Amino acid sequence: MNPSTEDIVNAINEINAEKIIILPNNSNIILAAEQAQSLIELPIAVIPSKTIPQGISSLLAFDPSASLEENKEAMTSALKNVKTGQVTYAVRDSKIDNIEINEGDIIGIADGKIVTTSKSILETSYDLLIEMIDEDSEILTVIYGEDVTSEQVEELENKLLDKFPDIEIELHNGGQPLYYFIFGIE
Amino acid sequence: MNYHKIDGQLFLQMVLEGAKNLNQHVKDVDALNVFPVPDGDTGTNMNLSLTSGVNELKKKNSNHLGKNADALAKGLLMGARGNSGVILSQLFRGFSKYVNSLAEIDSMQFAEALKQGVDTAYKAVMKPVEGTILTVSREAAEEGLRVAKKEKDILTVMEAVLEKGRLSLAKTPELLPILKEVGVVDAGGQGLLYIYEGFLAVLKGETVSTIDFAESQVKSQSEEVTFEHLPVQAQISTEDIEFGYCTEFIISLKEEIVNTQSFNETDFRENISKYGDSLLVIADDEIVKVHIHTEQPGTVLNLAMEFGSLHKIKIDNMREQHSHILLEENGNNEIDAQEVEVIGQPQPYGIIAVGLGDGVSEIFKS
Repeated sequence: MNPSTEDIVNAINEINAEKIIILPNNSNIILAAEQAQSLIELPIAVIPSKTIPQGISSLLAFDPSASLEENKEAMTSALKNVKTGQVTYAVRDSKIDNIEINEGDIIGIADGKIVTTSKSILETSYDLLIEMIDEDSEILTVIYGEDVTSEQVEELENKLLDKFPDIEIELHNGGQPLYYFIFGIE
Repeated sequence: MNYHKIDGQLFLQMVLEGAKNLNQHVKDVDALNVFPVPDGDTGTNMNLSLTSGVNELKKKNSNHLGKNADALAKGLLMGARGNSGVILSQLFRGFSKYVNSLAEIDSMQFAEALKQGVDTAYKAVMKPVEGTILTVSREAAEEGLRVAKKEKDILTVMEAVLEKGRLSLAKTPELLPILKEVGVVDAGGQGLLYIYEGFLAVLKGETVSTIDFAESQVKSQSEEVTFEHLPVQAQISTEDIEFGYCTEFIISLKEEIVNTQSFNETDFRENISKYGDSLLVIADDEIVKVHIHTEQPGTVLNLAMEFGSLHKIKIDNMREQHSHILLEENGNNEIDAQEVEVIGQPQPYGIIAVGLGDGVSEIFKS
């Protein structure tokens, strides 16, 4: 479930700042954030970040000395700097973009599109990254969730180091539920 | 039954029945999400949004339609979750604006109010997408207007609205290719029609929801996960903090309470709400999570200890520290509440990042 408008309004009130920037980090939260913005008389910018990596990339473009408008522009434009991959499981049978998906399959999502599926977390993750990483890719951020083991993380890292020796890999323990891995590729 | 007018009480009945019907179909709506991912939860979001509106409506209940619609709209606005929840809140916001000063409305005014709701919702969305709840609500309201021009019976108008809504919903896959590809209709539109079905059932006299009945409905849902909200607090002040200690803890309920299931969430909430605001209580069979801003954290803890042992106690002095507040916590293994995290940035800027999982929050803080 997503946070309510009131949750976001409360967060804005708690933070006690003159200007507020909101990173929803989920396409289904952006509207609620905008609704919260309309309820409060503070200068607020909602950056339409749809994923965690987009949020991180956007935050890196934040400049405390710049105006809210400048930050909004820079942080919004920074959303494009990163590609997002997500690995989770299917809750029912489906068929999208000619990919047959069975309930329980591990699915790999590249920027909102399901591109690969298998029975294994590692296989799907690896296939997804092969699909997403190209010659312009420099940094891969791996955010692993609460349902993967350190062995799985290590195995994936080793496979990736073999396959993409020129890419810098950053590992983070995200502790997120439902999503085994979230990848940011810059 | 023939109704030529809707007053505050009939409106209450309709909304309660609509909420009940939506609540019974939450899983069906969730299953319509395009992606088969585990956090596709349009039904859950809409249900919680409407529950927040219903709670406010029940608190302010009167015979005046405009006042009741206003209460519903306010609760919905603050409780809105997810895109469909926000759009639903805007539909009722427009509706309530139209009926604001009216103690009761006739069939034409009802249809006009629905239409104003649609106009408001379209304006709230930057890029309206057709083939969604927006299309379903618009086509249904337009049909309502057409029929209301020559029909005084509100039941007939509501029937036309629902019937057109169903046709419109069935056609959403023609407008939104991804729906067609996956073989579903729009989830938000379906959720709206469940609410309209409830409206119609009341007008037909098929069911009578009393306020008590609705109470039990909300309770049965709370076994899954419930977020209750205090009365809408529109006033915003950053300077004066009335309740200075952000207090969070978990009660592990005593065995006899668990066995007899005698923990009454509503009573408990009412009881401790006297000591502060921003109250959040999430209960399941064995544990209760509590979050409150209070001046008397000790009193609240003592009260809570009557029900069992306390764990993960966290008390922050908010006058000193504004930087890190966890507003929402995951109280259930099935549905994962997302956290709204306030991450520390020195004034004059504050940055709010929404994320799932402690580690993700850490990344944003670093």
